[in-house]
Amino acid sequence: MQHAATPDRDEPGHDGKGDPPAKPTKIIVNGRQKETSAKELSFQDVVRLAFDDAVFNEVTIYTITFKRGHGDKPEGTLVEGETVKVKEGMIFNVARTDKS
Amino acid sequence: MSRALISRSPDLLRLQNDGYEVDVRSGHLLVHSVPYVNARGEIALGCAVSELTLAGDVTSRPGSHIVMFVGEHPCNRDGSEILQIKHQSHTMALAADLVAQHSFSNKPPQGYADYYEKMTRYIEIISAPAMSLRTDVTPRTYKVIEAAADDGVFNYVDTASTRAGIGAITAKLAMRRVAIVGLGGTGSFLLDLLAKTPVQEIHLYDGDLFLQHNAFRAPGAASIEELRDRPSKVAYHRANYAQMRRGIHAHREYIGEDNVSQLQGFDFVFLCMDTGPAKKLIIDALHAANTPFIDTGLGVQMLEDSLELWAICRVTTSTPAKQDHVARRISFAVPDEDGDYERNIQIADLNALTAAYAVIRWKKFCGFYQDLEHEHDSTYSTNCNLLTGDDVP
Repeated sequence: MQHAATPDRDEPGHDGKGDPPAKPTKIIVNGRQKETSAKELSFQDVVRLAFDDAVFNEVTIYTITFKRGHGDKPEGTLVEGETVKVKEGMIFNVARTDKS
Repeated sequence: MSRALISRSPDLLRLQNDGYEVDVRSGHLLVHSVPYVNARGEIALGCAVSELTLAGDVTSRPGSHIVMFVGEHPCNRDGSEILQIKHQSHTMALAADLVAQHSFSNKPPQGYADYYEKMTRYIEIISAPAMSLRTDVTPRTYKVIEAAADDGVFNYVDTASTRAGIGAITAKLAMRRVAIVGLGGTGSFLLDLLAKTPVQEIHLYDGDLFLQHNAFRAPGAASIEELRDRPSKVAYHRANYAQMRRGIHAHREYIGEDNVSQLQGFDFVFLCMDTGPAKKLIIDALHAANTPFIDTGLGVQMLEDSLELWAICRVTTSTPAKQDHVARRISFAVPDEDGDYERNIQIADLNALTAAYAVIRWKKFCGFYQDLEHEHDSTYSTNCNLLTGDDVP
């Protein structure tokens, strides 16, 4: 699994001709500005960006929604096992939608 | 109910006393055995139908000048259609047991003052050719119509559906038994919407008391006297909605291992409870019984710097057609009170919105609203105005 903080030089689009290091992408996670150098984020990556004390177990489910993403999937939800491409200015929301 | 309505409304009573075969059924006013001449010059009997505008189960001034007709198009003595009242001809499903074929329009400049004036005016035009062909023919038969068996759930007629002409569609919602588990903010708004549908029995499950803070997250306006009585949530809401309808059953208990079997035999279940092990127990039982359900969930978070809130509202649906997404969408974790994102912020409008989304989804399941996507998970995010739909079978 790819971690949000790890730059990914092998991602298609990097030609390796001595470009400056990839500029981190500015995104909004839970209403706050964050930066990531990853090109693609997994469900767990996004939860970690949202919560320092994120827990991953069988019974805890986070609801993730995103908007202003890449053209092929600009908005939607992300569940365990899925990844999404990152775009400058992309909005992520992560919450435990467990209140009534 | 219909007999009482007629006896309380002077215009309907006058119609009946004049010998017209007056009937109130499925929210409409009917006058049976209205003679008319058909296209073949024969004398036939039809039924004139009107919407009913009521205030407290007494007639008001008619809300529409249109009359509908069950039968062939009424004609003149020569078999030509009566053009004076001609309006539309097609199948009009006014209610499950009431289908008209024609509507007529004849509007006096000042409108109709009451239903006596409205119905007698139309019947006069419809019946005149028949009455001139044969002197023994009359719409005033003095035959008494037996009151239809009253199997409705409301204490007064649902004129909202009949005024809108959607009685036949509304009838699709008449499930026999529906449960709401959890009567907090979302559950109480959900009850508010469900109570106004023809569901026969609505069972409420919650062990909690209705306290002062609950009043700010529930529909309506509780009085301080009601709060001082410290009623249970289910009793408070049952009493409130019993003013409008029958069939609301209050169960002052939380659902757990001992009583989860109570959820057997429901046509549909709404889960509006905070998450936790009990939710897993309930969902396992509902899946085992193939009972369709909707789980609602809300997450509100605070931005400390800007003192603003944002939220995600979630509606997850499980039907016999699709259940395998539930484990990825619904959390069963015990709420963790430590993390700062775990404070229990809830806002009435978000509860109401989540409840409304859940009820709309249920109405799609019932075939009331068109459903092109059959999404089994839907979310709304407030801060970017995003509505999502996923998990299509």
